[in-house]
Amino acid sequence: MTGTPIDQLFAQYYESLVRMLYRRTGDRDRAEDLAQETFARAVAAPPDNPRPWLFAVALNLVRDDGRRAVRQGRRLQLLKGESVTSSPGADDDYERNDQIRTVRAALAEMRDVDREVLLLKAEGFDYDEIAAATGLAKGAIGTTLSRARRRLVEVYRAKEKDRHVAS
Amino acid sequence: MSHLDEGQLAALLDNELTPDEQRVVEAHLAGCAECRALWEETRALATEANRLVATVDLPPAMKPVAGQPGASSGISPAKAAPRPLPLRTLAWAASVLFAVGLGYSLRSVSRGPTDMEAPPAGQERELAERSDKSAAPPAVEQPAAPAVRRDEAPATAGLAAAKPEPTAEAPVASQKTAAPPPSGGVASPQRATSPAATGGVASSEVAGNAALSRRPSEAQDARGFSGLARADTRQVDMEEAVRTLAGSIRLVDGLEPVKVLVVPGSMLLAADPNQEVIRVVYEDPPGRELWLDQQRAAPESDAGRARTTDALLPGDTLLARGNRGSKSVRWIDQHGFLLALTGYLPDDSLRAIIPRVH
Repeated sequence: MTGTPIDQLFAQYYESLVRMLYRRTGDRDRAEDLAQETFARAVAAPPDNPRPWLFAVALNLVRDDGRRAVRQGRRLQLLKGESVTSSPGADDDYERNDQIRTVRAALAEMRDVDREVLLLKAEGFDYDEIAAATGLAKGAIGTTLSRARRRLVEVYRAKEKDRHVAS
Repeated sequence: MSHLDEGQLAALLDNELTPDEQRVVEAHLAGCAECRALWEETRALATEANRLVATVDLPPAMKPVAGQPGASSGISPAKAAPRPLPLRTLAWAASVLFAVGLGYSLRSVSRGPTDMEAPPAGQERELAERSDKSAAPPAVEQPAAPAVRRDEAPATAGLAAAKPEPTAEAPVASQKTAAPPPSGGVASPQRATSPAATGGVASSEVAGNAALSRRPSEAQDARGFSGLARADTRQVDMEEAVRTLAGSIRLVDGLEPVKVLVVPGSMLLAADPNQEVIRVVYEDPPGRELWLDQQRAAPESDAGRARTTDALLPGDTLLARGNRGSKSVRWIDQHGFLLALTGYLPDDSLRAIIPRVH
């Protein structure tokens, strides 16, 4: 973080970080807590290359948090996440919420590395930054990203099909 | 040239190829129907995947307001919303941004619940509850060995590293162990500061309650014992508090911190006496002090074990009463932080604040 004060980092990356964590966890409280923990660590140990560093720390935190949650049997609760309903009763909202739940479920079925690469790309990371945040070789990012996109779409479509058959 | 692979096509799609690489790939696509089909499929999948990911976004009402420091303005607990996300965010941001100014500007404030004077004999905890699960935070998580990936380093090492690497979550030691001791029989490795603290109550608890139960005026009267006058108690800014706690500071939504202190662990019941405690001091609506003590759970250690067997189990809310009207609720949050909220409020009011601590 050479020359980048924490308030600037916060202004630049906080929302993006929380959004990525929210997509990863489906739980806004956890996303907020993890983002704040991440920034707390940035205060304690200012990074040189802040964006990949912040997201790498956040992903490490969420992985460890998830492992503990699984051991404690909180997995169902975490996957359930929180309600995304904004106006109950509206058909459009109902459909949209169903879609969001399906996307989350599809994301949850992906390999960690695929999901992380996908979510980082969604936050505007280039391949160099994704490589720095994940530890993957830059040359492997394209292949990983392509596989992740395919996997997400395939799982999502399968779940959508099941949902429509069930209903 | 052999056929293109999906990685190359993804890199082309994401503008990650060098100009030379791009020319080669585009030349191949122009002459290879099979790769063109794969290219079209790659583009379609990327478009669809991006659309799907974008559907999972923060709802507008909960989007954090980044970069707009502005602390809360002393909203009373009753008026505060149950989940004022922006407030929490802003309070945290403001705490970081204005920590230095806050710390120094309030250095002269002498009122402080930090004296260690021994309480009168007979003081004891009157109530220790384990039934109020609605008010209690979620059970603390089991300790997790930090799984170090190729880009990780031990969490604590990162604090002092000249060039820090991303770190994993520090292991949290907070095991659910033995049942709590009966009221009046609390065991602790800590000692009271006065032999007057007897009567079947553990000395550390008496000392803790004494420290937490001083009214501001009494604290002023006992200035020689209290707060900043003590060699082992100091006022700090938020950044130092974060470093000391090795984690983000828990704050009460809707209340504005008056000052932040670092106090010895021995001043807080059930805390690790070998670690310092961060004390964030607020004022309640009538102007009396209300303070939130916090300590990160120690790794597995004698002190940590002693603490968990001492009085508090994850998921419990422990209510204690001081000798001069103060009351304190203690609990362990989901990240294993020991928290204690103390003030001159009714039991229910203190408990009602717990969900607002983040």
